[in-house]
Parts: sequence; C-alpha cells; structure tokens
Amino acid sequence: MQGQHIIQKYTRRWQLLRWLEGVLYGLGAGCFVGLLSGSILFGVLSFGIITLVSLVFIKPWKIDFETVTQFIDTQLDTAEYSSSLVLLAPQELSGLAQLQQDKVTEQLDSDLNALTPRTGLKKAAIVSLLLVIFGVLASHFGLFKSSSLSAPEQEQMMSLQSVDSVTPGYVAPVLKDQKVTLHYPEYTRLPGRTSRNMNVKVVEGSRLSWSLDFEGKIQSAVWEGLGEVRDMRISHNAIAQRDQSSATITVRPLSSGYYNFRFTDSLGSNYTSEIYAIEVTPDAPPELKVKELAQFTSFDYDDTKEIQFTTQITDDYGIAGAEIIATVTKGSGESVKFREERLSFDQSIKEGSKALQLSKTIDLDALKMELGDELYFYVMARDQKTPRPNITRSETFFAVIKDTVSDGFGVEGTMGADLMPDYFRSQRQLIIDTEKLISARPELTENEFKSRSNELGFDQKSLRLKYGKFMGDEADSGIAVQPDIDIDDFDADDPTAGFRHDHDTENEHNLVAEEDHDHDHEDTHDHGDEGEDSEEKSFLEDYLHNHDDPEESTLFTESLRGKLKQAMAEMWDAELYLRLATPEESLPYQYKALKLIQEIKNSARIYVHRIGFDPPPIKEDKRLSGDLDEIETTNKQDDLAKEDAYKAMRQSVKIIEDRIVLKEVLTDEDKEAFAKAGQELATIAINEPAKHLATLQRLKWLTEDKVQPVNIWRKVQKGLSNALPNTTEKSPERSGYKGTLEDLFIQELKTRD
Amino acid sequence: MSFLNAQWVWPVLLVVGLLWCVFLWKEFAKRHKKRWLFKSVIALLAVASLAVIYLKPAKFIEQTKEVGVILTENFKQSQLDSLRAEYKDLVEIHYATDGLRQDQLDAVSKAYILGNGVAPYDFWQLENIRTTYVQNDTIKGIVRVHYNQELTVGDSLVFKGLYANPILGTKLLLEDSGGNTLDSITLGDSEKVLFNLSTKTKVAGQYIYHLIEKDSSQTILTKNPIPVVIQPEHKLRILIVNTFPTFETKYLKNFLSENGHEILVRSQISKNTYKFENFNRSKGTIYGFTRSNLSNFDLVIMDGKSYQALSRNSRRALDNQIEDAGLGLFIQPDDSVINDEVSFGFRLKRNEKKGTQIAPWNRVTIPVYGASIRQETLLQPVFKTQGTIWSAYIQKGMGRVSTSLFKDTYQLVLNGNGELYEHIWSTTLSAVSQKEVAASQLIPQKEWVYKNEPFSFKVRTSVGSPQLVSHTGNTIALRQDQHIKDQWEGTTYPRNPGWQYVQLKNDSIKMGYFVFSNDDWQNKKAFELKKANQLKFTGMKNTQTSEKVLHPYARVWFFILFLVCLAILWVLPRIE
Repeated sequence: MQGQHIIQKYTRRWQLLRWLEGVLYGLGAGCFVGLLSGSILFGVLSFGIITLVSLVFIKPWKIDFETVTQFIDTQLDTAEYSSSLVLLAPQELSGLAQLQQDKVTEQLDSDLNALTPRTGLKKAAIVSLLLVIFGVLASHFGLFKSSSLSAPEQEQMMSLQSVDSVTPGYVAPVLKDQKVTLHYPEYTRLPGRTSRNMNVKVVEGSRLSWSLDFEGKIQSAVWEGLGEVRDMRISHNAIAQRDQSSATITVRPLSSGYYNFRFTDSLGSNYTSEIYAIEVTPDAPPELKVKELAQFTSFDYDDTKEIQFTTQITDDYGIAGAEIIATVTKGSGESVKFREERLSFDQSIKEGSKALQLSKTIDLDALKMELGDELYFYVMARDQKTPRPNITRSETFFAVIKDTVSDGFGVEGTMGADLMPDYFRSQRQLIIDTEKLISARPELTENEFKSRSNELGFDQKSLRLKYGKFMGDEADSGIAVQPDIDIDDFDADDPTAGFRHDHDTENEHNLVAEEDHDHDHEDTHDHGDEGEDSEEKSFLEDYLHNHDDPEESTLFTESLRGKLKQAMAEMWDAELYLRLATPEESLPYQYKALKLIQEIKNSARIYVHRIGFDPPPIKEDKRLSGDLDEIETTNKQDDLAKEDAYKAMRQSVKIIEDRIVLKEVLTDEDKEAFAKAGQELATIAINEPAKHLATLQRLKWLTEDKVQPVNIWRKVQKGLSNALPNTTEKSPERSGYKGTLEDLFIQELKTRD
Repeated sequence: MSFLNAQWVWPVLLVVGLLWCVFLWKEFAKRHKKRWLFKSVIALLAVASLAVIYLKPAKFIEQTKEVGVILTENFKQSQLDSLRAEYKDLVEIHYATDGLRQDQLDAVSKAYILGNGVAPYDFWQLENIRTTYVQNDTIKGIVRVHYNQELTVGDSLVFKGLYANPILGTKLLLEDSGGNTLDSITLGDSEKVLFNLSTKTKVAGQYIYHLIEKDSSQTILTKNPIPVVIQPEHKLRILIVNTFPTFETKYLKNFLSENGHEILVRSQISKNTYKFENFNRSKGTIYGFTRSNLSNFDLVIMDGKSYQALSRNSRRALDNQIEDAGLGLFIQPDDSVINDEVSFGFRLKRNEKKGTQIAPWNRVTIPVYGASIRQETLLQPVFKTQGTIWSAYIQKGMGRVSTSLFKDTYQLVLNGNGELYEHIWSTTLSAVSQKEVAASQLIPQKEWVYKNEPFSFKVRTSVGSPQLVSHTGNTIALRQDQHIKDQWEGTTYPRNPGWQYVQLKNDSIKMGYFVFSNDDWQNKKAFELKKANQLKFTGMKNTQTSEKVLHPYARVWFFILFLVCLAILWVLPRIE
C-alpha cells in the first residue's frame, strides 16, 4: 500500500498547487482592485469573487488518482506505464504484475519528488505579481482617480508671520502642532472630528476647539475672527528641558466668516497667522414627499370615505417627528366653522432616523364629517435641531364629501316658488296668504277655513316674536331665550370672559394648538359637542347689550323702537283676528304692520344709499378769492448725499498706486485706511468668502509693521478693485485758464451781442 | 587760396616778422660773409612754413556730392543691397544707432530713407538734402489708439484702436493697474480691425492700465501702458428755480442731491410765497438775484417761465454773473416755451419727433419736445443725433447758457434706465457749470511723450516771469510768446518713463504728463513715423549737386620744408 500512499500524497500536492493557483489569481485581482479603489472592502470582495471564478475554471478537485497515474505514465519513463498498478491491491495481481508493482513503487518513491505536477502556478504568480505592481503604480500616480473624488485635504502647517518690522534676532517660538476639533451638535450624533486643516466647514450649532502646540514660550495668544477677539488659554510645560506652550480656545461660530491667530512670545514680539475661513452650513429642514394622493379628492355620500397616502420624509441628521394637521370645515359663507385636528401616522416614528416611509389612512367618518364638509390637511415634519427644530410642511390637500342638497336657486318640477320654512314667512307673505284664504273661502269647509286662519295666526305670532327679539321682549313661547352666560365659559382668571363676545376665540378649542403651546386644550376639557349647543344658545347675544333692563336693550334709536313697538301692536291685532277666523279684519292691521316694518327697514338702510357728493353751493363773490394768509413760505433742509460704503477701499487702491509710483513706504494713515478697507471688504466677502479670502489676508499683512514686497501690494490692489462695485456717473470738474486771450474773446463776444 | 585760420593772419605775420628780425640781428655780425643772404632767405622760409602750418592754407575745390542712405529702424537689407548696387560710393548713415552726423549729411546731396523713418524732430537736418522715403513692409499690430486720458470717477474708459493685419486668434485684453482683466476682444482675420474696449472707472487717482496682446496660445506678445488720470467727482452748488413743482425737477434734485451736490430749490407756491428746499447745505433762501447771492452758485437751473418772469434787476445780475464770473444757466423748457419759439436765446426748429436714442443705449427711447435746436455760430451741441441737436449751450462771456429738449427724462428712471438718466444729466450739467479758474495751465504740444525725446509745451500763467521746475528739480527755460504775453514755451527731455510733472516756482500746482518708455507702443510709433516721413519726403526738391569746398593742403610738406631749412641752417656753419 506504500505505492498508493505515494500516489495519494502526490495527488494531494497537485491539488494543493492548483488551489494555490486560484488563490493567487484572486490575490492579485484583490490587491489590484483594493489599491485602485482605495477600499479594503472592495479588495476583499474581488479577492473572493476572482478566487472562486478561477477555481471553477481550474477545478482542482477534478484531479484524482487516474489523472495522476496518467500524468506519471506520460512524464516519468521509470514508471514504465505501470503507475496505475500501484493503486491496485497486490492480491488482485498476477506475480509478474506484483513484481512490476514493487519495482514501480520503488521507482516512484525515488523519482516522483522530482516530477512537478502540471500547473499554471507560474503563470498565476506572474499575472498576480503584474496586477499588484500595476495596482501600486496606478494608485501611486492616481491614474484612475477623478480629482473631485478625493481631493487631498490641505493640511499645511500654519505659517506665522512676524508683525513687527524687525524680525527678532533670537529663535522664535515654533509651531509644532495645530489641531482643530469639531464637536457637532449632539442631535446629529456625529462623532467629533480632529483635523489639521484650519479652514473648517461645520454644521450650525457646532463647537470648534483649536489647540496649538509651540516649542518655545508663548506669552499670549489671541483668536481674532467673526467680529470678535478672544484670548486663548495658554499652558506651559517643559519636556526634556525645552519649553513647550500650548494655546487652546473653543468657539461656537454662529455665522460664516474668517479668523486668525495672533501670538506674542515671551519677549514681546508679535506674530500673526494666515486668515482661515469658517463656513457654517445650516441644518437643512426635512424634505417631504407625499405620494399617491391627488391634490383634491371628492367623495359621494355612499362612497367609502377614506384617503390613503404615503409620505416619504428625509432629513440630513434625523427626523424628530411628523404628523398630519387636518382642518375640517363645516357650513359655508359667514357661518363656516373650522375644526383642526392633529393626526398621527399609522406607523410609529423612530426618532432620529434619516429617512422614513410613513403611510396613513384618514377615515372621514371618524372625523365626524358630514355631507358638504371639507377636509384640508397637510403633513408637517420637524428635525432634531436644537434649540429650535426645522419644520417643513407639505402642500395642502383637500377632500370633500359632496353635498346632496345645494341651496342654489332652481325651478324644479311643479314647484314655482322656493318654499321657505313657515316661521320665516314675512309679513308680505302673510298678507298674500291671507288674501288667498279669503278668496278661497267659498271652496273651503268651515273647519278647514278656521284651521288655516289659525295657522296664519301662528305664523303672525312667529313673526312678531322674531321682531320681538330685537326689542328685547321676553318670548312667551316657542323659540326660547337661553341664559346668556355659559357656566363653562367662565374662566377663573378672567371674570369678564362671560360678558365678552370673543368671536375670534370662540372656536379656539377646536383648533390645533400652536407648536410651542405647552398645554393642550384637548387634554384639559373636552368641548366636543358644545359647539352645536352654543350655536343656538344665544341668538340675541350678537345684537344686545343686555343690561338687565329690557327697555334699554336695543340696537335701535328711540323713534325706531317706537315704530317697531307699534308694528308689533299691529301684529298682535292681526294675529287676534286671524285666530278669530276673521282674516278680512286682520288684513288692515297686517298692512299697517308691513308698512311700519318697511319704514324701519328703510330707515335702517340709510347708510347704503349711494348718491354723489353734493357740495354746498359757494357764493359767487367768494369764488377765486382764496385766503392764503395761512400759507407761508417754507424752508426745509436735508442731507441726502449718499455716504460711499466703500470709501476706504477706493482710498486704498489709490494709496497703493501712489506709493508704488513714488516708491514711498506706507504711513500709519495708509494702514488705517487698509484696516478700514478690510472691514469694508469683509462685508462684500460674506457672500463669496473664497473669492476674497486671499485679498483680505494680504490686506491684513499690509496693516502690519513688516514691509511687504510690491507684488503683494499689487495683488491687494487687484483684489480690491475687483471687489469694488461700479459707481454712478459723476460730474467732472471743469477747469480752465483765463488769460488775455480769453479776455479778448469775451470782449469780442460782448461787442457782437 | 585761403587760410582756414584766416583770422590769425596778422598776428602770425607779426610773429614771423619778429622771428626773422631776431634771426637777422643774430647773424648781423656775419653779414659780410658770403651766403649771409642765402641763410637769411632759408630762415625766412623756415619761419614762414611754421606760420603756414599754423594758418592751415586751403583752396576751394569743386566737389560733387554723394548719394546717401539713412538707415532707420526696421530697414530691409534687400533694399539697401539694391541701393549699394546702384551707387558706388553710397554714404551709409546709421540713424538708428548714431543719429544724423553733420559731416555725413554734408557729403550727400540726395538721400534715401529706409526703414520706419526719421523722427519728426530731426526733419530740419534734412532740409537741404533731396530725400526720398522708401517704404518698407506694412506694420502688423496696433497702429492707432484713441482714448480719453482724463476721466471723472464713474466715467467709462473707452479705448479704441486699430489693429493692422492681425493673426487669427490674437486676443487683446484691457487690464487695470492691479492686473484685473476688465475687457477683452479676440481678433478675427482681416486686414484692419477696429476694436473697442471699455470699462467703468471706480477710483480716482493716476493709474496705468495696460493693453495686453496675446496670441492664440495665451503667450503675451506685447504689454503697453495706458496712462489714465481719474479725477474725483466735483460737487456743484446748484440753484433750482421753478414756478411750480414738477416731477422732472423732483427727480433731478433727488439725483443731484444723492450725488452730494449742494442744492437750493425754490418753487413758487403763490405770489410771494415760496417753498425752499436745501439739500446738503445749510438753510438759506433766495428771492431777487444779486451779484453776491448768485456768486454762491456754480449753476442755476430755471424753468422757462421763471426765466421770462425775472425782474429787470435780477436779469441783469444773472447776465452779469454769467458773463463775468462764468456762472452756468440751464433753462428747462416747457410746452409753452416751445410753442412760442422765442425766448431764451435758442432758436428752435419744430419737428414731429416723439423720441430719440443715444448710443450706447440704443434701445431706449428718450421722449423729446417736438422741436430741436438750430445750429448757430456760438452754439455748441451737447447731445446731437444725426444732425438734430437736442441739447446745447451758448457761450456767453465767461459763462454758458444751456437747454435741453429732452422731455420728462424722469420716466427713464421709472423705466429702469437710471444709467442713461445719469449720463444725460451729468453730461448736460457739467458742460454748463462754472469753470474753476486755474492760475496756470500746461498745454502739451504732443500727446504721447517718449523718453529722451523732446517734449515741447506751452505754459499759460498769470505769473509775471515764471520759472518752471521739472520734478527732478531742474529748471526748464521758458520763452515768452511774441504776441500773447502770458504764454510761454519750453522744451524738456524727460529722462525717466512714468508720471512726471512740472511746477512753477513758488506755486504748488503740479502740471503732470506721462512719459512712455521707448519700448511702449512700438507699432503705433512706427506707423506714425512712417506716415510723417511719407508726408514729408515725397515731394522732390532741387538741391545743388556740387559745391565748392575749402580743401586744406596737406601741411606735412610745410613741415618737411621747415625741417629742410633748419637742416641747411645747421649744416652750413659746419661745412664752412
């Protein structure tokens, strides 16, 4: 069995090499992809995939004893084409075969080690090596990198400029390390970040901490920027007999802007850093998308009154909540009533998630909507920003349950007139009906006639009572007058509440509370059905000033009151005769009442009379003789000259030009002008910080004591003139010389005139 | 026969006589010896030859003059070669390096100028020579430029030029002194391209803008300076008198006061009742015009009615102030004035036009009264479109009276054409406003001054005998004009390029000019030189082809004669 063992070992070796071949391909490809993409994940992934694919092609498991023996037979002469013999059990073999088996086994034992199995290992090694080399080269030279994908962060060390004109002779403190740490607001759940790049971009509400390490002693350090100057905290320590200082500061920037550092070393020399930018990006409000919903939906009374929709909400740092604000309107015209409700979505909202898909089914019946009612709703989402969240609301959607009855005028079927409820019968209608009754008397039975007359009497009473309300009369029957003050409306804090008619607030408890209201009306007391009660409760309230005395409680002037009283007296009489089934006698009273009511109506309507303005006539002798005594000469004074907002910038451009031409040095006034110009430029630079940063920086250099080369001056001048807005056209100065020639000329002109 | 040192003949003869007498006296003792006479003659010869050496004898000889060639910059070798082949003894004058030399010029009677030409200030040297200018190749590049060297803040700097034979893709850029590119143009392929670059000026001061020429591969070919003086704005003192308030005046006074001018507005409310508005000035009133109260203003703006209603005294005061002190008067016309066609010194011509346009606002129609101003002798148009004068002034003594037939220009502001409105009114009013009288004035005789070239100028000054000092401190000699006593002429040779100024001694006013370096605007300079040479040297002139020249004899022979005489005198005693 020794021979079989040898073959087995060889087979295993061969298989291993083939496996290895596959892995090599995978390794090469993995390294290549990993280097190119710069991501380990991609590398591992492609390693796995390529290894698998190449193994499928290579099929190392296909190598078995048969292929091995065949291979040995072809490759190894000493095997004498009998290697397969070794695999067989000696018992099954003939003697000769056994001899041959022994011989071959011996041969194989000695020779097989020298025989390398046929593999593509070399090729695989070369290919993977090439791939790795290529990958390294490509990643080194950035062959496949698009520049925008991974622009290397600018991480230059700050360069410190000596502010003083004379550079100190001793060794100045050296900046060893600079760090800026960004602490994002907590709600963003972003980890803090530390960078050496001093130009920072942060989210609104972030905190920034700078820490600068120096070799050498620093006396003081100042952070200048965003319109303020703040001292930095300095700490000293000595490591290995060398002075070390570090300066730290934490700032919470509220707006974009610039900053720089200024240091004073132990000997009083000043240094300033370059100017860096802080860009504060606001937290974007959540984005809302309402899907599967038309702007306007209408339902018939027998439809399933349900609205279904989904909403997609996304936010950059996390959503705090979302809800639906629904408003139900009842009625129309002036009597419209609103009721607001806050609905939540069917799913619960996971606070802090960045994207949400929410759905909602609104059942209109559950909102107690009736025919003709309308529903307006919108979706509102807010994010986690503190202290005040960003709120986004969707557009408003409408749903309406179509009313089956509409109040429009129409002539329908046999009905020639629009029938109004009985008690709204007017005096005129009563007269018409009474006359009709009288004319129809012959055809009617006695009872019928009396009953109809009685009915008319009732109508007359209703009408009287209706007018009586205006008079403040207490009703004796029918439409009841309820107590004016609703106990529920009483507010302990506000004793006058019940006496006022706060129409604006009447409906308030039906509206959704404002976002920052702490208490919720709905929780404290439920007025659910009260709205309908209060609608009926005090018809009079709107008109009366009820001061207990019904005689005083009226809207009308005395004469009107008298008229109305008279009219009601007439109505009493008219009713009396109608009740007595003598409509003929009732008619005169009705006419009188009608006439009085008409008069009252007309007198009340005087304000709507539209007539032109008739000025009182002016007497002829007064015409065109206006009295101007009170019209006096006036004299006013104003300074309207516009102050040039960029005066110092203009001045600086000129100063630079003059100094360059005359080869002069900058004076202190010049520097003052430059400092002012810097402030003016900063107002322009707010909008485009990157564009003007360099100019601001150089302008600052010019204000320092150190002398700057002319090309820096020129650059400042260039930046300033670039930033300056155009001016309006100005009037030039006309100057001239007046001499003998001019005198002669003028003399000549005069004589010619 | 003549002597070059003819003026020394008598003294020399005296000395010769004296010397000979000394010799005769010395030899007097040996007078009885033979050869005494011979020796005396030899001595006379020796002394005489000495005298002749000193006096330089010469004789007139007829000399035929040669043909010369003046080689200036950019001459073509082939042209010179063909001239050399034509004339054997061609006198070559290298103007570009040596300038003109008198001896060379004397030798020639006829000269050819090759290359760009001789500078105009050297023309006088060639007066006596028949000179022909031979053209060379046409010049490529910017050959003509035009722009306003003096501007007021807010004005547009319009730089116009002519580019000859451009190469396709050549780009011209206008840069400010800081290096901002303000305007640019890419030239097409044609023989001559007129280009126009413009920018708004923003800051007052003296600046050097640059015109940069780049080829299509962005290589800078030339960079030429454009010196510009930007004057600060001038605040005017304006009086506006109206019989009733109008929108036109309301907008005008707003525009003017926002620009910082001092304004007093008087609008009549009723008889003897006025409304005064003071802008950017202290409270004041004005009723009747007098010389003293008008002297507080540079400009008076009146409507036609107010002007006509002026009392006799006021009118006289106003006229006097205009004529003597140079006060400006602008009269706002109205329909009644236009219909009268009489009135304020302007004669009008009725037309049917409703509006007009002014470049570059060609799309905006400015409403006008249905009339235009007639051209007159003393009338200077301010706004003129296609021969129709809309706005003009008349010189009246020192001052000017102006009007404009633009109607309701405030509508331009309302329609968003504020810039046009500003242009119209700043131009109109600045043309008429009172002049500042300067004590002295420098009038350059040439616009472009180059380094090391003569710069002639005139100075007008009220100072009696002015002394002019250049900015390096050197005094520049001035020559008074024969007829105009307050005008002086001078010439200076600026040594340094850049801004230079001259100044009257004991006077602070500096009169500035800009000196170009010799490398600036080469093509323009060459083009102008060629033009000038072509103009000057085309007509043929008759000059003498020969002349008699005093030609000195070679004096060495007299010296030899002197030596021989001395030798004889030395040898004779020895051999006796």
